[in-house]
Amino acid sequence: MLNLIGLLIIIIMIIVILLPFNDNFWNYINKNKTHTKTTLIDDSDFELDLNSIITDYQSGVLNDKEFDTQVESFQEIINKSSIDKNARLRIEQLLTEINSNK
Amino acid sequence: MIYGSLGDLVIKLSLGMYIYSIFAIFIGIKYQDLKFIYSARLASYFGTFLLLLSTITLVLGFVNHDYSIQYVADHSSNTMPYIYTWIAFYSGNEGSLLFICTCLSILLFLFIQNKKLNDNSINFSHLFILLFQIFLLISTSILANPFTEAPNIVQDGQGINPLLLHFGMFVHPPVQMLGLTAVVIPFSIAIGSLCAKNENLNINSLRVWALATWVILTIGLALGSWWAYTILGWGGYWAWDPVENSSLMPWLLMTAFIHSIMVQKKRNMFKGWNLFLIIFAFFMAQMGMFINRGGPVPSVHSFGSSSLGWTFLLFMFVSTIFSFVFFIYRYRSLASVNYVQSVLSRESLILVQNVLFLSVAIITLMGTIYPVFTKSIEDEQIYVGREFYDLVNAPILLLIMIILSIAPFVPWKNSNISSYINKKIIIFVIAVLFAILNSWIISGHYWVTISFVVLYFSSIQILIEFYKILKTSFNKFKNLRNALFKFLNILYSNLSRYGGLISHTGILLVMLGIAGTSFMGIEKDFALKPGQSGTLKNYQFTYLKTDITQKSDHTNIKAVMQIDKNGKSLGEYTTSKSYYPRFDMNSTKAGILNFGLEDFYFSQSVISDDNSAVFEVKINPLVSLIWTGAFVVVVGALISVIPVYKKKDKVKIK
Amino acid sequence: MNNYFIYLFIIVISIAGCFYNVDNDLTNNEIRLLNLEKQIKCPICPAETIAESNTKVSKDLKNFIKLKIDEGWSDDKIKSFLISKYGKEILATPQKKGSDLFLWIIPIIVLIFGVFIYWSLYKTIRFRTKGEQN
Repeated sequence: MLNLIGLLIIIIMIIVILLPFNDNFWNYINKNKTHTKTTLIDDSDFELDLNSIITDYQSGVLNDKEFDTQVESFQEIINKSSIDKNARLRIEQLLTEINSNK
Repeated sequence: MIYGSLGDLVIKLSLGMYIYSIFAIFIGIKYQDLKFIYSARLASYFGTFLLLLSTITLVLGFVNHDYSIQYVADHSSNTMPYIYTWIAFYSGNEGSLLFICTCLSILLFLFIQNKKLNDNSINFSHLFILLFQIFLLISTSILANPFTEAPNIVQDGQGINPLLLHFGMFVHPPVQMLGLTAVVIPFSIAIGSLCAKNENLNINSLRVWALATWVILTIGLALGSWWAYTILGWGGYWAWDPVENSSLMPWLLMTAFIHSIMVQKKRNMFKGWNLFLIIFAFFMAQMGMFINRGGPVPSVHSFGSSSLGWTFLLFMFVSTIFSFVFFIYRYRSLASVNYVQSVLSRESLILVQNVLFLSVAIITLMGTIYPVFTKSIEDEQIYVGREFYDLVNAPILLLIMIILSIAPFVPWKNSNISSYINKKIIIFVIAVLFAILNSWIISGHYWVTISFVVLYFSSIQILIEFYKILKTSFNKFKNLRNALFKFLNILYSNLSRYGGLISHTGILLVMLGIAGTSFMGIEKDFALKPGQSGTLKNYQFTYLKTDITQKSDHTNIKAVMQIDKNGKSLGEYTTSKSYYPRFDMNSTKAGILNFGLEDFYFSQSVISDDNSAVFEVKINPLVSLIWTGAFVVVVGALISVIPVYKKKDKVKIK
Repeated sequence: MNNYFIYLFIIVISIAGCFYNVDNDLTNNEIRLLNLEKQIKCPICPAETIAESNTKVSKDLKNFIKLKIDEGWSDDKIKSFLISKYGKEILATPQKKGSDLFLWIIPIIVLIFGVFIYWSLYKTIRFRTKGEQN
């Protein structure tokens, strides 16, 4: 009885191991996958800095005046620098939000 | 009954699967053949299935009292309560090893879910996890096999250790063992990414698994302390016992780690330091398993199989040395672009916190293995008791708590000390005033007052932050519903921070509880004859009588006390001691009365023939804060771990 | 200027707070007993002090110490007596002298080492140069 169970498990083991080498199986699992190239948001340093300024303001480290000063100097810097297009778009969006909050 | 042979066969087959898996991954990486990678993953999945099967057969062996298996005969009996037969399998050395192997197989299963086949950092990580798994499986199946046949079948087993007949047995050991095992996952992620030359150490995956491991370890520690409190009879929850220490040390390092990877995520720094921390954490986790298996460090907890302990020690040193060598070899690729710019900045304070946690871990380690040194040098085994650890570690832990109340509210990069003081001084003063007010009401001790100050200082800053966000939301949206939505939105976008703040508050509550019990507590022994009373603070108690009942495998001695508080009667309460002649062991059930934050704790230590007894009576102020605080910590950490779905740019490739 | 008054206030309050302790309800002897219990290891247990252990040997030792405190013995005399009877292993808190002093020095070494680690990481040299904004 035990031998039978053991044999059965070993057979299943071998099947499981060899499955990917079967062309039909391999094509089947690859067909259903849409290869998505996911790019996670790549926080460039600038975006990080802006987020830091906002968090500091929200957590009370900066008061209104200091916050405004920092945002102004930040805007000056990014206007002079070259940033990845997507990152620039996100930064501009954040800045618009900040300005509309006033 | 075939449980024994089936279980044994299945373990060995799973070992075969994992060995194949390693070879397949190796070939898959070397020749970039994704089919081999996929095959390796399928083999790992099947290994999980086989180990689960093996565990089930062992459990069934216990439930059906199959004494043809030696391990079942050693750890169960016909008279033990039925429900405990379902969990007795992890009460001994061999069975707990099988349990650990199964846990690891499940973690591995979860880890490789939905991961890209061509992601070599995942594949290398998979490889390292497998190395650990194979080591554990070889130790189990060859050196400590739970399915070993009994030379002759007994009618009744030895029985389970009476101290384990407690609700805690259902939850603490599995969680604790799972936690120690889980440390291998973040370790493998880090080392695996290093192998694959993945510069950022797979930070997102690393963070999630590190947090998950940390939560499990936290729950394990909390459950263990609570269990010790209710069963051990001395009224305390932590004795700095070697095995307790061995579960604390990985926790300390993981706590440091989950903060320093935050610095890596936000500032792209500390990569080398993170790698060092996680290697050390894995070392500590293995140390934990080693001390648990017995060997040179004696403990109330250890399983006591010395030869296996040395195997663990060997693997621990080999894995640590290999990791460090590899770390040094690849050190240049981890160099940071940024550096710590100012002493008062968040990354600087996190670094200080890390160093402090590391210090506590090292001091605890030295104290724990001190008996080994003295035994080999002077042939005397000097045990280091809790007084040493309390004295030395307490100030360091207090310092960490103080930093905890400062760091989350200090910006990254740099900050000005005088402007910080200017902003926070009012809050600090308010916190001090509240704390002193508290102390007058609760009648405290200055350590407790300090803990209150830190708690209030941190909490007020948190409340101010919430208030500011609320104000922003209401400024933007006049409509109440929209404003609340905006408020929740802001919170949701920063869940890791707010979860962290909640956990911090929980830790401060725990610290307050510890300070209360340590410095405001009172204990005293009372020798009473039936009818006599005693008083401790505002509690009065009268020893009424003792009932002795004889059960099949133990004698139960139950003492009944009438308890009054402030003159008002609270009723009759009992404390009992059960003596198990087969184990020559006493298991105590203390009487614990809870009044909000305070516990009135009493247990009987000696009962003489004329029924006069000695009672240990203890008042534990603020002790409930420990359990409540631990719960809050876990809730906060779980909130932190919730994945926040950011918009990802998806590009379809044919 | 305002700040200095606040600092002074805090210092005064803090010092005052340090002298405020809960009334203990325990006599000096009882406190001494509790402290000593934590310092004596249970001779037959693998890793417990007599404060935690519920073995008979531990209870007897507790009673013995209680007796000797009431008789007027000093802490050191009690400990020396126990050492002469059971050996140095009876002490759970290592003495602050002899070879055990090593254990007490370790925390100091560790903290100095910690300061060193902090300092060296603080001054991490940049391997790659990149324009640092702000």
